[in-house]
Amino acid sequence: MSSYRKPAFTLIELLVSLALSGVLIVLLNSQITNSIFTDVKIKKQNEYRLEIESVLEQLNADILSASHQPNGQKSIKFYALENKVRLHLKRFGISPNTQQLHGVEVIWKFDNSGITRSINSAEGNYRRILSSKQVNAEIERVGEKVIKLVLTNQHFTKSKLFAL
Amino acid sequence: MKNASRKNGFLLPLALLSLLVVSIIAMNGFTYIRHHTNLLKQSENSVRISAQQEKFELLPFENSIPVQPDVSAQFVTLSGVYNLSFLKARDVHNANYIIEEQIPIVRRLLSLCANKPELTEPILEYLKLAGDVEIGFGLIDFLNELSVPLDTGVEVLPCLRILPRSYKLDLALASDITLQAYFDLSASQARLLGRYLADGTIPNHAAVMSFLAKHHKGKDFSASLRNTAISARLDHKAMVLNFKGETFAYLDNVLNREGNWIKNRNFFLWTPMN
Repeated sequence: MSSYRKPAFTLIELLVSLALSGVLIVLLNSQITNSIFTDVKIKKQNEYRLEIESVLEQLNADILSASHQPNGQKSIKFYALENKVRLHLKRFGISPNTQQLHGVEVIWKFDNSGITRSINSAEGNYRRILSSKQVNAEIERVGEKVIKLVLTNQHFTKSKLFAL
Repeated sequence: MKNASRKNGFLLPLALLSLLVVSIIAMNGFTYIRHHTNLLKQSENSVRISAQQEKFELLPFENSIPVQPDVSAQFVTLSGVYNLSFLKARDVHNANYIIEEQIPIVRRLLSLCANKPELTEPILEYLKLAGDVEIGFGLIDFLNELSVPLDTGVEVLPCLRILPRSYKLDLALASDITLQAYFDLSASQARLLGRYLADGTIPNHAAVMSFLAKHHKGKDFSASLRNTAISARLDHKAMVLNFKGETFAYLDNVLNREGNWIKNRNFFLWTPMN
């Protein structure tokens, strides 16, 4: 009787592999779990960062579209008090009722309750909460026509310059 | 048993281990790159829009037409348009006041040109309280301050402008309706005056005065004529940009004291991208 065998892993090799895999899984389990939780944490932070980025882009768009005053400067006023910032500006906006372009007053609020953007127009007032997470905001004028907004929360600090 | 064909080493456990490590690194790397790309994409879009707007803003200075397909440009001469700064002046105490003689002119212009005489009072109220007008403040801004919808504002754009007082009404470049409203003439008299100004029959203020004296006996136009010029020298122009027939930008430029064209006020409703 021929004793020809195909080359393969031996039983011992397989058993050692399984044992090694078991050990590896046990060892890496805590690491993987941590990594998953860290990933979720990072994901949340990134989502919040993205939320803040999106808010700042929207604010930038508002500032870019702000109408001007007779002195040629943009119609923007800002108030800062104890980590709270308010920005008032005038711009053209599309009315949700008539779909007409007309002047609106946009008010941005950055404070303990989060970030809100309100629109006041002849047709009514609208308020939208863009972020409900606590944020500390500081605003400063860094040049004649440049302002700097710094947003801080427990995980990160984000700042952006806006040209007036 | 042929042991010679067997490979040495624990291949399976090594392969499993490598696979595990590579998977973890790849998963974390992918998540990081995806978030990073999302963040960059937003900033990149706004930078692209700004760059495109800057390209369009250069067109009036180069006196060139847009090369982008589907984008067309229209030049508008504004030196012959009434300047709303003529309405106000400052007294000896540096306080604003409205020049009464100018009010009927604005009312007539708004009636004849834009069919919006009801805007006269809000305009006067605003100008009474506003500071001096400087370059960088356009008529669209002004109408926004009055809470006038842009649809209405577009109708007023060819009739009025707002700039410092030094930008006079150039009679040689004024439309018949502007002449009719400014000098309170009939449509045919304004047409005649417009023709005389265009062909040089009326070359100066004295000739305008004598023309007006025929139609308004005893009325003194010397004060009104101080706000006018007959130079036919362009000092204010605009470019209207359209994409597939839809207006998306209004670029307003003025000639400064040094004789250079500068940006007054540019409006973009939206920006077509390449």
